[in-house]
This record gives sequence, C-alpha cells and structure tokens, in this order.
Amino acid sequence: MSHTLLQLIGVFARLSLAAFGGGIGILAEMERQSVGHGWVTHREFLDIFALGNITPGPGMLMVVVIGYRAAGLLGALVAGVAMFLPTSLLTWVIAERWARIRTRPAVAALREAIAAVGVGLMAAGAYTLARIGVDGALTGAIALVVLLLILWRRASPALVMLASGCAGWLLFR
Amino acid sequence: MTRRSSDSDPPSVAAVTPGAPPPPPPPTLAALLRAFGWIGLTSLGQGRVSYFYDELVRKRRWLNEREFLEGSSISSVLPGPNVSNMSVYFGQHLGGAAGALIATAAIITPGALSILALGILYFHGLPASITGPVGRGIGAAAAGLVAATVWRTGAPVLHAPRSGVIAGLSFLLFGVIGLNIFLVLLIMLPLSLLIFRMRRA
Repeated sequence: MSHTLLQLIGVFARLSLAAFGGGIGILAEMERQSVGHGWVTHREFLDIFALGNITPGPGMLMVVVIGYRAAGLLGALVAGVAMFLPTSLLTWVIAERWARIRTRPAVAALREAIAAVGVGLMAAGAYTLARIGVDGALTGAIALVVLLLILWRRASPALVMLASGCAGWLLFR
Repeated sequence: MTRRSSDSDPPSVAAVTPGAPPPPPPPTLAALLRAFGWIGLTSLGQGRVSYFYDELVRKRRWLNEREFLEGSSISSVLPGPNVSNMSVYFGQHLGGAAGALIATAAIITPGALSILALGILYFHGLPASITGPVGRGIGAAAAGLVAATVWRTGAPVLHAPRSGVIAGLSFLLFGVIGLNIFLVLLIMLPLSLLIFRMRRA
C-alpha cells in the first residue's frame, strides 16, 4: 500500500476517533492536516466542505473528495473507510450493549436524564447552525420560513431543503 | 434481534399519546433499507438529525420521541460523525446487527457517490460560484429545520418543568458557553439524576 494511502488512513481514522460531539469539532485539525500533507489547498478545503452541504448523507463524506484528490479513486475509498468504519464499529458495540441494559428499571432515571439533556444538545446544534448559516435578513427569513413550514404544515424536510437551495441560487447568485 | 421498542418501555417513561393508534409492528430489513435509503438519498445540508426524526418517528412511528432523543444523544456523545453513528444506533435498535449494517450502508452510499461526482467535477473546473449560493440557502434552512425538530422532540419530554431546566442548562453549557461535550455530561447527568430522584422521593 502506498505511503499516501497509509497517511490517509492514519489521519482520517485518528480524526474520526477524536470527533466527540460530531464532525464540526475536528474541522480545523482536518484542514491543517489535509493542507499540511499537500492533499488540497486551503481554498479547495473550504469548497469541498461546502459540497458536503449540498449533497445528502454525512457531511464528513467530504473526506472522500480529499482522498480522491490525494490518491485517486482508491484514495477516495480508503479515506471514506477510515472516517466511518472504526467509529461505526465502536458505536455498534456500545449500541448492542446498551440495548441489553436499557430496559432495566434501574436505568429508567438515566434514560429520562439522557432524553432531557438530549433536547438541550440538539438545541445547541440548532443555535450553532444559526450562527453559521444566518448572517442577515434574507438568510434569517429562510430559516424562519423553514421552521414554520415544518412545524405547521408538516412539510417534508427533503422538499423544504431543496426549495431553500433554489431560493439560495436565486437570491445569492 | 428486533422487537417493538415501546413494549419494552416502563410505563413511566413511555410517551404514548392517549387515543393514538398502536405502534406498527417491528420493521423488516427491507423496510429498514427503504427508510434509511430515503434519508441517505435526501438528507441535504447540516441538521440531518431532522431527517431521521421525520422518517423514523413521525412517518413510520418506529420510535417515540424519548427513544429518539436517547439514540441521538448517545450518537453525538460517541466519537465519529453523528450521522453514521445515528444510523448504526437506530439500525441496531430496530433490526439488530443486520439492521445496523443495512442502515449505515444506506445512509453513506448515496452521499459518497454524489459528493465524489461533484468533487471530480470541481477538480475539472466546476466553479464554486455555482454551488456557493445553493449551499448558503441550504445552510440557513438547516438552522430552521433543526429548531423545528427540537420543538417536536422537546414537547413530549419537557412537559415537566424540571426536564425543561435540565435541557436549558445543557443548551447553555454546550451551545452558548461551548464546554466540551464530556464536561457537559459530567455536570448534567448526575444533576439530572439527582433532580429526577428528588421528584420520586
């Protein structure tokens, strides 16, 4: 296996295992490593990150494009596997164990606590997204209309996001 | 192993709406593939947790709000991308090991192929000025989307004022102050247990 492929595995598997609380926390380090290894430039990194926003699935799939730039299609595959396989296996082991104990009465209070804390964590996620994505009246209006459409019209997230992408194209071109 | 998740809930935590029809039977692997495949194909933008909620809780009613929050919290605390962790967790919850495998493959494959295709186009001259404005619209929308999911999942959980206090404090510590997620849990989980215990006593 070539030196670059091994580097891709080392960098992205390590970053993934360090991504507690989601991928956003490792973005800065991922940029430093990807640019430092000469895989992409700073500008390319930002553009690739933006691609993750307009494609479905995990945003961290951006590593596939970095891997492709570094080492072709094999690089893309290796980068993706390094980012998703180790942590998915870890999550599976924990989920499987948790499934066995979560129905015990002694765990009921813990589950109640997790649910309440979970609302707060998700609210923090919405707040972070608003700070990143809402930078003026127009983006604020898009966010608000989406909120209302989902809550009161029970609109499908896929349709709403597609429409917002079109609105972005018309408004910010 | 698949099972009807709400059967296993102790009555004190099951969020069953009075008068609502009984939850559907446990999903088959083919149904899991369809549900997670749909999320994998359509989940544009940050805030993908909302697509999981819409598909698994609202449309298919395989999970209730509490079970959903349990899974989304555990997935965000564990290392790795939240979206793949959620597919592993909910896939395992709904369909065992095979369910986890199918769910995760269905979530990752469509996005991997589409971002690779766009990436190849990008390195062959697709200007970022085309994708930028679309991403800006979607980025703004993601904030509204997740806020709606917070509202939806929060409503059945936060009817008790104490749960509201716990959620609010967690939001402040993690979102506004920006504490590390472990510190947030280290503070909030014992505090919540204490509060819930007090209520029972």
